[in-house]
Amino acid sequence: MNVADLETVLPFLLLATGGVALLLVDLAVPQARKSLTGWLAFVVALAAGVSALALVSGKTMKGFAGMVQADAFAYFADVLLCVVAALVILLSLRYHTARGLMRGEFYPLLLLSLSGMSLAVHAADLLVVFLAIELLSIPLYVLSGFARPRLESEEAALKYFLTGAFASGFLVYGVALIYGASGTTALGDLRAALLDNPALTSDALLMAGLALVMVGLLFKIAAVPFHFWAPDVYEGAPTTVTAFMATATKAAAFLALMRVVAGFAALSPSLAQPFEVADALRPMLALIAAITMIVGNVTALAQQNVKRMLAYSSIAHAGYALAGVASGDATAVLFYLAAYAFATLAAFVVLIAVGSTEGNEDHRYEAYAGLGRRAPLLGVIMALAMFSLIGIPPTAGFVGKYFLFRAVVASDLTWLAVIGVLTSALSAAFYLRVLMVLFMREPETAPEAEPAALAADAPRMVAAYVSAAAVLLIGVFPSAVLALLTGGELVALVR
Amino acid sequence: MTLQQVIFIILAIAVIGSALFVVTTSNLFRGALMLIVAFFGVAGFYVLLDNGLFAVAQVMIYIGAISILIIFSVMLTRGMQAMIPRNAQAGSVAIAAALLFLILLLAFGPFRLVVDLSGVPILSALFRTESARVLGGVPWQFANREVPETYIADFGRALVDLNQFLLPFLLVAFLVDAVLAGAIYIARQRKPAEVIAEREAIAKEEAEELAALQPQPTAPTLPQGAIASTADH
Repeated sequence: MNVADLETVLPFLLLATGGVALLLVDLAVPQARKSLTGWLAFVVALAAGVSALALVSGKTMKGFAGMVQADAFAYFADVLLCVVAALVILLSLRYHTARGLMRGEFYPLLLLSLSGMSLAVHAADLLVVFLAIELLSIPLYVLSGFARPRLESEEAALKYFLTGAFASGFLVYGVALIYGASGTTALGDLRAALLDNPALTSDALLMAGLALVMVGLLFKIAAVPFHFWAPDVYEGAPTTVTAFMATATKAAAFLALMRVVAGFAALSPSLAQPFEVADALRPMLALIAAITMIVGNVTALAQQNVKRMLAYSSIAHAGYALAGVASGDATAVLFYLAAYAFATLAAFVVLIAVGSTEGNEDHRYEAYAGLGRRAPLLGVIMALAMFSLIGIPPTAGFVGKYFLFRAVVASDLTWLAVIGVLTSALSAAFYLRVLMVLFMREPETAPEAEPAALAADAPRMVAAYVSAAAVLLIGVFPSAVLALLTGGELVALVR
Repeated sequence: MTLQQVIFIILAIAVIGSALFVVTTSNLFRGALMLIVAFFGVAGFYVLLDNGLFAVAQVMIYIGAISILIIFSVMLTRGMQAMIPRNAQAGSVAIAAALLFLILLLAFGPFRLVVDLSGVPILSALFRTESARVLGGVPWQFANREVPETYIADFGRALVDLNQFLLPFLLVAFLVDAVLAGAIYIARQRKPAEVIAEREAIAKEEAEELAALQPQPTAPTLPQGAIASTADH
């Protein structure tokens, strides 16, 4: 066994073995003290994050016969995913106890899903892309139904499973067709084969395979028109799982998508090097990005439920990131996803705080009336999150959108940047509505939860501080994140 | 006509016949049984192609797992055996399937089709075609390589070889682990007391939700007969 091979997927190995071991350890943990399992999972996620942080460098390494690639992008995504998962674990401790969900299986499944995400960002082979996406999805199907026998949770799980299984079918069929056309599943070899053999670039089989793979991946990031599952699943799933899905899954699926797109970069040889999107793919990606931005933001405007609004917001932000993919600037996309992830997580902290203290999990706007005055800290965190999601300086969302739109304009897609800016302005309407309800409206009925209870849970408040601080710090010191992202060098997604 | 061709024709008739029976029968159970015949026929094709591994996989996965799953779900679902399913969309689905078959035949079959979109205003911009494009006529190549006798053993070794498919194999192991843990969680038998407590909590919440949805406490004016009839039952 070659140690260098193991090093390329070290975070994955830590998470997967940690998850499996935790399944066994959990058997010995008494039902009354299941938070111990949570803390163990927290340690595993943090260890994996630290290992990724330690491995960050400008070098690109390949492992397992070229099936995985370890570069600065992958390690950056690893760190992001592990931090997000660790924060979700902190958020889950009190919430799950309050909602009667404190069961040990949650944490091993979360870690296994996280391990799939970690591998998806390292994937350099379509086979690994498919298996990693499955490994991240299957625990998520169960997690979204974790609150069974609650009907909305079961409905979320079944909907997610049926549509997800269908999308997986598209993905694997596409991989099979691409293999049939090119004789390889390795993205680097595919790129070389396309450069060597121009006849292959107009091959119907290859195009059909590419289209099917794109459908499968666009489903995972919930881009329009493959987004129909997202609002129902996000609303029905336990809020901790929703927070995890809306942030981590999206980041992982986006990096996998970008690697696949980069593998097909040689479709049109006229292409400039730093941009890794083929001319044949660019219009399609730009069109889907535009539709996703418009549909996501406009539909979010009409929502009466904060959780559902955040689901549409996540669709809209997938549109922004997809615009970045169309521009071919992976750095801008990953930066944006990090900014989006922490802002969304900060918003979910407030939802989870409400869900942990009020007897009835009610996320209608009216239920949030006056919350900002009863619990000012939560109000401020929500305000930060909303400002970042709109893109107001000095938050991370502003810098993220700045980098993103700059990249989009630089790749001659100015119309797409215009749509992005316009929909961002539109999005202020529903993001600011949350703040208006939070601070300026009187509650209809006497609130059930005491203000002290809302801010009582120490782990939750740590998660709140960390995500809020991340939103601010990324906004003020973007260069530190960029340094981590590039490792000091320009990184090729596929080689 | 060689013996191979005779066997192929017999298998093809069996596969097409049983597949037709599956989509036309209104008895789900018989359909499931005939599906097994169709799957066996496809396994026979693999044997004819001298690929024993695929044949074994076909029998194990499609007959051993999928067909049995269908038969189990038919037998375990109450009233499904006596049910007569009707499909109002059969005609349109048949047309759609035929169209899809034609498209695939054109795209991947032996026929060639020259499409010139350069004159059409919108489509040419969308597909960026300055010149005519040839569709179909895919030059399928025969694999002239000799299949080694030990190909099944090679396949097994490739799965555990670091330089070949060790990582996907490992991944599948973790995947199966996640699937098992998840399935057990979903299907776990609860203690009756647990179920009752949960149902009571949910009923209480739903009642509260209902109460919250109807803020005006005006007493509903039921017709006299409605209350009397509930008392009767």
